[in-house]
Amino acid sequence: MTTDTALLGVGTAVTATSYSQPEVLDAFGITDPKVRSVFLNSAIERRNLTLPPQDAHGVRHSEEQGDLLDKHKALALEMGADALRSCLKEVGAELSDVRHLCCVTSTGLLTPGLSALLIRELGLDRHCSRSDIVGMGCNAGLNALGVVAGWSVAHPGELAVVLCVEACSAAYTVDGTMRTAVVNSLFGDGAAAVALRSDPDLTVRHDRTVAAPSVLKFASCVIPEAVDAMRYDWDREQSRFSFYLDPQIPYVVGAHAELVVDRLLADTGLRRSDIRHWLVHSGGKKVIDAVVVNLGLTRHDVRHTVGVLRDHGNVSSGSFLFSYERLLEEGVARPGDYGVLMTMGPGSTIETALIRW
Amino acid sequence: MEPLHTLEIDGSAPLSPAAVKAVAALCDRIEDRAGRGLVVVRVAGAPAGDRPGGFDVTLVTKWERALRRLERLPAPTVAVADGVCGGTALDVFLAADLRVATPDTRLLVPRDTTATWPGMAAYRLVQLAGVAGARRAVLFGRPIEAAEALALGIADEIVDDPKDVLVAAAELTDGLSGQEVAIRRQLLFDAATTGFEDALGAHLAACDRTLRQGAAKEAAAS
Repeated sequence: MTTDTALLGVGTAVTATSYSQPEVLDAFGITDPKVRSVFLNSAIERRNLTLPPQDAHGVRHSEEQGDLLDKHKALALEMGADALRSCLKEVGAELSDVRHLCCVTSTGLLTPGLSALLIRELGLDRHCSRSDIVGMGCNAGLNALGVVAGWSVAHPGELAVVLCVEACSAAYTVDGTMRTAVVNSLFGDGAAAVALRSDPDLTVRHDRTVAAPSVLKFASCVIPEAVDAMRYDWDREQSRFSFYLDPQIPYVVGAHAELVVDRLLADTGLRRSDIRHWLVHSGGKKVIDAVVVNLGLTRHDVRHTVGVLRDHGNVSSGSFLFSYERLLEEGVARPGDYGVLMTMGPGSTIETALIRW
Repeated sequence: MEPLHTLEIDGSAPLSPAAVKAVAALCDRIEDRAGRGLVVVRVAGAPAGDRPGGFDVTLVTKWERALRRLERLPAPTVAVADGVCGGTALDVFLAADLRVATPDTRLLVPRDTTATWPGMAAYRLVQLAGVAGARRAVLFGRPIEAAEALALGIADEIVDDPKDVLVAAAELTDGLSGQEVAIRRQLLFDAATTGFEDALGAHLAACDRTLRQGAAKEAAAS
């Protein structure tokens, strides 16, 4: 039990256009039955995407790497600003209240990073401290939460925000292979922000109408033997970054899920059955199944994980915050309830956090 | 093999925080010793009146949560019913893996003429016996006699002396990992309510779990 940092509130944002899976297939003119089947059996109904422009025949082609980076920057700033504003509104804070801004993204590279660009764009205090977590993938939201929880403890009473911004549309390669089909069937654009504050006087947040759970503990598990299983690296043939997902990923993640959750709960006096709320990353249908089986969760436990996957696809680092937002909207969390946040991504890694309302 | 833990539920007593605590304490003990063993619950008795009272739905929620935990324990569970069995006793009976009854067992479902008390017992009855099998009990509060319970699959066995069953149950479950039983049980529950395509992922994940255990053993041996 390390911190008394509270998650004050959350906000999410997506881009304007969402597509059903058949719409995406049609947009790219994909007819290969195998590829179509990957899209249609993904447990995803809709995703927000910014597709490449259509040519004279109405077909959308792969974009150049430079165009993709421009797209990442534009979408990330737009979604990031929306998610940040919505989060601050939720917690009743102003942009000027933000003392630390940590931006997380893996779908594009920017220097200066998103934090600096957003501070300029939104007119945040120029003295706002900042950090950027780049290239860590879907698990990175929890890596950021761990770091920023530490910052919050060192700066009691000051507002910090973790902002996960993933323009997955800017990480698309369309080449007709099964490798890209798996990736292209899965990811969607989305941003999510969560505000944190460590209050020396806990009564401050107990007066709030919005329930604010404390962040108690983190546990990580890197699986170095699966280091190449999830990667976003340079594809020389395509002359662009390309994402790769090994078919074994769901099972590798499932096999290590108990290990890291046991470690998270060790010395807390908590049993797995004491955890009332599970907020698992919407990594994909098979990943969710594997985590459910190995941790003995119910379909009810992962209802938001499954719901976010269905409505948004895998929005990478911010996915678990989309689930968290839905849990808060449900209004079922009660004081004293425990929750586990769980994300997984390249490394391969599983990140977990324990929270208590 | 000796039973790991036993619990007695008196269905004639009204639902109480003590009953919730008793089930939760049993679950605590089993979960803390996840592994091998058998849980035996003896249930008997039924409420005197049709309509329960003296508590609110918060307590019912806690009770149902405790039952759900019992139903998902990392250990095989056996319930032994004796005589009339209703209320909390019926609830617990239906949540066990193996359900044994004596010949004079009667499962009593509430029969209030102007109100409904289904609990999740009604749900579990339908899961076990199907809508047709459970219809008369759930709709009209018709008691289920031991022989009928056996025919419908609500009871697994009828015996004169429950002691013999416990020995047989202990043999049946001997050496089983409780955690693996919990996984099988989950697949079983989900199979009744999930389509093939949706169930496939969970079954493959369970297969992979086994394959990895085999691989780990081989690695350890080499």
